[in-house]
Amino acid sequence: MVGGVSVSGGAASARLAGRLRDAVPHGRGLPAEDWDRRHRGLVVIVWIHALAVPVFGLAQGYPVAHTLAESSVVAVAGVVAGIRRLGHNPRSAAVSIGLLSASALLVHFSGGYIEFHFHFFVMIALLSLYQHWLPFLLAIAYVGIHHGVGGAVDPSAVYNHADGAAHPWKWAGIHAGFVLAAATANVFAWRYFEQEQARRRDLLRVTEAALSRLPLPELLDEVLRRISDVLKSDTATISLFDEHGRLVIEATRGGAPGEKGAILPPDDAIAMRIAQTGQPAVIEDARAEIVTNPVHRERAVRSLAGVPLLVAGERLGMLDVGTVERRRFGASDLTLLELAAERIAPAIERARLHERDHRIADILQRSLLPKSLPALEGVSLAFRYEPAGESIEAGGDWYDAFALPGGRLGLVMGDVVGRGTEAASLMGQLRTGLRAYAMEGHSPAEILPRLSNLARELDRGNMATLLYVEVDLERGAARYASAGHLPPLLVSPGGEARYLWEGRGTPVGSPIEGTWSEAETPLEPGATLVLYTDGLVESRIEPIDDGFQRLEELAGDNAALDAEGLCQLVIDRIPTSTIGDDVALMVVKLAPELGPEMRLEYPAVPESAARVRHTLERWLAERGTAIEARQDIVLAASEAAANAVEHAYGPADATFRLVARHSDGEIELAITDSGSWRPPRDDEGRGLVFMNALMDAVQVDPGPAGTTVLMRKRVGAGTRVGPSS
Amino acid sequence: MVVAPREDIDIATADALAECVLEAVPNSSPGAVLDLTGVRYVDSAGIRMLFGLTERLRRRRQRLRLVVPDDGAVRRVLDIVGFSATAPLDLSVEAAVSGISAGGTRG
Repeated sequence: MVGGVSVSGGAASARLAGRLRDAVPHGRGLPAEDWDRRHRGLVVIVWIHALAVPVFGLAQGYPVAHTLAESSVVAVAGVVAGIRRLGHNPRSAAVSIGLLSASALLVHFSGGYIEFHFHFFVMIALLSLYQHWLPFLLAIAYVGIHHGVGGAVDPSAVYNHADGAAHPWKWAGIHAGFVLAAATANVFAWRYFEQEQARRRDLLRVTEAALSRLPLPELLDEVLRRISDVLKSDTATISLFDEHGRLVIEATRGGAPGEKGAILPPDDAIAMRIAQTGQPAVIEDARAEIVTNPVHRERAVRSLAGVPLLVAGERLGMLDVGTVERRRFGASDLTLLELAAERIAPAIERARLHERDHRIADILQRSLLPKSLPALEGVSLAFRYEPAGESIEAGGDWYDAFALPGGRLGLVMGDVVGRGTEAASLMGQLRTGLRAYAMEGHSPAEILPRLSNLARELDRGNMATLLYVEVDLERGAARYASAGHLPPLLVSPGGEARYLWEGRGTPVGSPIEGTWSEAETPLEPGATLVLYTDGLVESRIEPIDDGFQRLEELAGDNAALDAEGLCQLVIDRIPTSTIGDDVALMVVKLAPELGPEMRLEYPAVPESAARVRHTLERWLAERGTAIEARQDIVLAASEAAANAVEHAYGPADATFRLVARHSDGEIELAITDSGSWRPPRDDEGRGLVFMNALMDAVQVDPGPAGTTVLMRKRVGAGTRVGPSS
Repeated sequence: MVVAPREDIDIATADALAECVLEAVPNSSPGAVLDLTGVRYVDSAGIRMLFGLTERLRRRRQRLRLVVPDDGAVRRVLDIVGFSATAPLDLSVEAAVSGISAGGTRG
């Protein structure tokens, strides 16, 4: 294990070196502004000496020439120190030499009086103001050399005692030693100052006001980066309480990226302590504690410090740092963490409130969109709602579709002016109001003025455009009225597309007295209606006519697609550069003509009876069957279907088949199930009674593969009605 | 108590409707009105349910009256099975309600 020892020895000496580096001032110098101010002061002191020293020399009775010559050293230093284009080092060196020369001259002029040596100590203290090694070391060297050389050449100029004169280098050493001690004391003061300065810088770094302008994820990452930098931690983590009160890692530094979103088990020691007390907590040796935070476990973190994230006393979560090396986090570390927590907690709260607001409006709006559209025979619907890309608030677009009595279908496409919760709530009121008026049997042109009054009563000043279309599936026609909304697009099965510009009126809720009208258009089998909001055709860069044309061509060229296919295609083809508004889109497609013979298969479930009725009803209407005969045939077929459902056995996915044929003025139905009929019970007998009463001929044929009910009814020659005649 | 279903009454919906009516009608009420104006079709399962419902209400000393328009598939089916012999058929909700309140049955 020699290698191991040498490695750990190397690590230990590196640690020692690091600790020494930490204890000694870094002397990286002062900010330029501080250096300038201190340097200016020191230069003034140099100049004071440049004047005072010769005065003192003359007063001591030295010759003028001698005095001035020797004192000029101080003045020269003052001049050099004042030359701005020289760097900091030469200028501070000049100050150092100038001040110490002044000390040396004072000692010299005094005749070596020991009391004048005090001047050296004052100068040393002054020079520590530079917080730089150069003037400092220069000063110590100056004292040593000056005392030694000076003492040897002219002892009385340096020392006023016999031993000094006799052993000048010994006394130079002693003096330099004291100077060194004074310097050391200064060094410590200087180091503390430096640390305090660094601390202030660190605090500024983690609390900088500009940080709060960052989007939340970037803010958290940046604060964590600065904290781990300042505290030299290996990990830094922000965990927030979710709605279930569990701590979830929101951002982390030093952990794997996948740990974001991890839920902290509730027994994690530091998390538990902070959660329980709402106070900062420190763990010096995590080996003795329960650590379940995956970031801490993965990095085998040894020491931890954490603080709660508080807003108005409410605990949002915690901020913690960890080190792999054992370390005692102190009060100042916790202060720094707390200051950082104070900076980020309000930002988190703000972001959460904003998100909640946005979500409420969004949920409100989405709750108003129909979850499913009515399943009616002979028509298929598809719809999309595409929020604008950068939208931060729910838009005011909505659509609705509902079944009305008499095989009719109500379709709504609307757009409330404005966004957010207010728009969404008006939307909800209009939606409910419109459904209610439609259910009461009002026509489109009667519904719009009522809605407009409702909107004005409920919500002063907010308007909406909307389009209401009532599709009559039996008649094959649509009645529609528009309250300032964009016209629906009608596409024939052959692909001819045209906008329905008729039936236009005032937006609902508008302050002016509105006028409304309605129009009607035939809808042939296979026809398509496209309803939409302005986001689909209108944008800042595309003129609306281009948008109209694009939609018209797209829908016309793809008339063969089903509702879902066309809906998706239209959404896919919105030029991405034009998306700036929400888009709501509804495509309604009437089933194509069924023809004189129809073969259908249904699952053997009770709900299929209704589907049989609806399909037959549409087919019989298409065949031009009179209403009474239609009802009889539909009910008879429904009874046969109900029997087929009741007799189904065997595989769960059993089916029954319906064949309907219209020829020579007669309707013929064959309903075949996969079972064999048991002796009829009472009510099944009633079903047969019905069939017999309603149809001209009924024949039950129990075949080996299943029972077939064959029914006939004369309906006359039959005249086709409806738009497709 | 007036119950006005809007869906067809058939093999898929009949039983649920019966439960709905029995639950909606309090024991203190003299009877129930089933308004079938909005119903397009009643099949044999629906007829079975109507007979059963009449009987169950009668056991609670309550009467059932149906509101059925003069024309349409529902009237036709009820005529075929002679339902009016079991419970009176009215043309309007008002007539049915006053029929129950008057305590008169034609059955």
